[in-house]
Amino acid sequence: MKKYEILEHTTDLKIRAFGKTKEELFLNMLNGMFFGAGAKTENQEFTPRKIKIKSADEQSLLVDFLSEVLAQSDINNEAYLEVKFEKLAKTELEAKIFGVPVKSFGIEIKAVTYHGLEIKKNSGGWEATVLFDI
Amino acid sequence: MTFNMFDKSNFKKISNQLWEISKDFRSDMRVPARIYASEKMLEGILEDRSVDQLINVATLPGILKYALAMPDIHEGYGFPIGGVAAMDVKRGVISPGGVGYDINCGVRLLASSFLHSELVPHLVDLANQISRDVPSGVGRGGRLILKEKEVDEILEGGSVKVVAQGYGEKNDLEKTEEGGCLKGADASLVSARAKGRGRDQLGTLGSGNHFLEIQRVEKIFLPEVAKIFGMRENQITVMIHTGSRGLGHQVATDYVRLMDAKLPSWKIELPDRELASAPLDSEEGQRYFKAMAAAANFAWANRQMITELVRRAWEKVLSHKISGKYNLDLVYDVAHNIAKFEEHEIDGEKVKVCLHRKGATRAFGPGREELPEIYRETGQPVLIPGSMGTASYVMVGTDVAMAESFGSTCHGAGRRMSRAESRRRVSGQTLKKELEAQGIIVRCASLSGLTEEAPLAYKDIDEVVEVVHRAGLAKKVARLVPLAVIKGE
Repeated sequence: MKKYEILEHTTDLKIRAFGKTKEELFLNMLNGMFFGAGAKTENQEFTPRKIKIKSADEQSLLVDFLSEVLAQSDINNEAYLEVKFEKLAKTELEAKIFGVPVKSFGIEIKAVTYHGLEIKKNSGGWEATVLFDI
Repeated sequence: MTFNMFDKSNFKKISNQLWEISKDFRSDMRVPARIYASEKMLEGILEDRSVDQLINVATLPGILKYALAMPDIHEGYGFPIGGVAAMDVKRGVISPGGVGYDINCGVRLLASSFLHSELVPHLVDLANQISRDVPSGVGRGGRLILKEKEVDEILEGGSVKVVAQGYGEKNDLEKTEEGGCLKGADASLVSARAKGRGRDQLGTLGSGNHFLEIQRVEKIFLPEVAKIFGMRENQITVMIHTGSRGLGHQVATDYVRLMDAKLPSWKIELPDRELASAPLDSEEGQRYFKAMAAAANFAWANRQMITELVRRAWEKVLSHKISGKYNLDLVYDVAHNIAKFEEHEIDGEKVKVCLHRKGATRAFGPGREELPEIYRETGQPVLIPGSMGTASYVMVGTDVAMAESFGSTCHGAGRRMSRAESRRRVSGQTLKKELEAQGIIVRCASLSGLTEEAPLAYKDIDEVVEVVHRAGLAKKVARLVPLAVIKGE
């Protein structure tokens, strides 16, 4: 199963991610985000960081999750390619994200937007599309 | 990719440079939508969703006269890039999507006392020194780490604060839009998260389309005005293009989230969630303005710090090699992603509005009291950066802009091709060679970052500028060509 794909967009970074479960969907979108950002990481041990998010609705939870990780990435100069969800409900989540130091980013992602945001469940699993401002 | 929703027949031609979609095109429009473009450019504009996005702006509560777009318009989210909207302060809204995530992204121009012929032997050394001394700040942060109290002081003091600490001259403040400090900023309304992101980002360039360029004044169009701006033919200039970095991005993220959740309570229905807005007279609307002003001040302080880093690099290199004055005088600093309270004439009356410029530059004409005395007779300098490796322009604000576009004009070339498409069409190595063959020195950490900003990915800056020049929204003063491009990533 494909994890994510980068879609065409004139100005910004548009990613469609897939997952058999919602946890996998969130993880794959996260991987897509750091791939899209062109993160060059250093080969060092992971630093775990706890995050806890409560959102207004199901769609916002994905945006808020990615925004939280993006902020952590900017503050700690890390990329997060692994997540361990302790709770992933419809509008809430608790998780450990695992950071590795970043040497550089090819692109600076400014923000995760609601523009054209889609999350859907079909027979094959979950699918979401997110537009990142770069 | 073509969206068939619009074609040219949907537009009323007002002039060769101005097109209008009437208010009755869509039932939720409150005002008409107007686009400044040549007929040829309009055809390009119809190829993405930017017109649809402009029409969405025309639906916002309290919008006055028109939803306006400049010729560099392209698809964004919420507002299109290149959009201008004035909101009634009593009935209207303020929208973070009308400012953009990079709050107070902007441009400043520094004029040297040297001519091109004098600096030719030293350009490589200058480019190397500047690229060493101005950190990109992407991935590793900057060299200065601020304490929380210091971040607060920058948020409320902007350029004024950093100049007081020795990073620049008082004269720099006079030649910065809003004096480098937008009034009303309140650091307590900026989240700890945003401040955390900004702590190591002051004096950093960022990546993407942000850049630093050493340029040559190739042509002067209005000699009298150029003289007042401190510019002459073949002079060497330095242009800095950056914004409020992660701090500003977080402020926008925080307030889009806050407003998105509150929309039902204000009974505001929007065609795009990224248009999230708050009534200007609501607590949330007021809080956003004050937090946005704080982020705008961080951006001005950032450009001021970079200016000083460039000035020091300049003197370090040249003082051993050439005699003369090593000064780099600020011509002007303009914001092109911002919301501000301004007074404009509407139907013969002076009205206070909340003006959103997202990818649009203020272009105040002669006589406005906001302008420094030195530019009050000419109108303000308007700085239009080109895409990497192409020309940039200095223009001057006009009375026409005051009457037609709330004192606004374009902000740059405007993207027309995706980064992926750009990467497919040209390799980093080829592009670097092409630029170097034109005599342009390139200092860029990543070749892929270089291709994404390739000139072919952008509209032709000369065409964009010609449209606003002919429409009278700003007049050409000087054309600048790049000699060295410095990009973080």
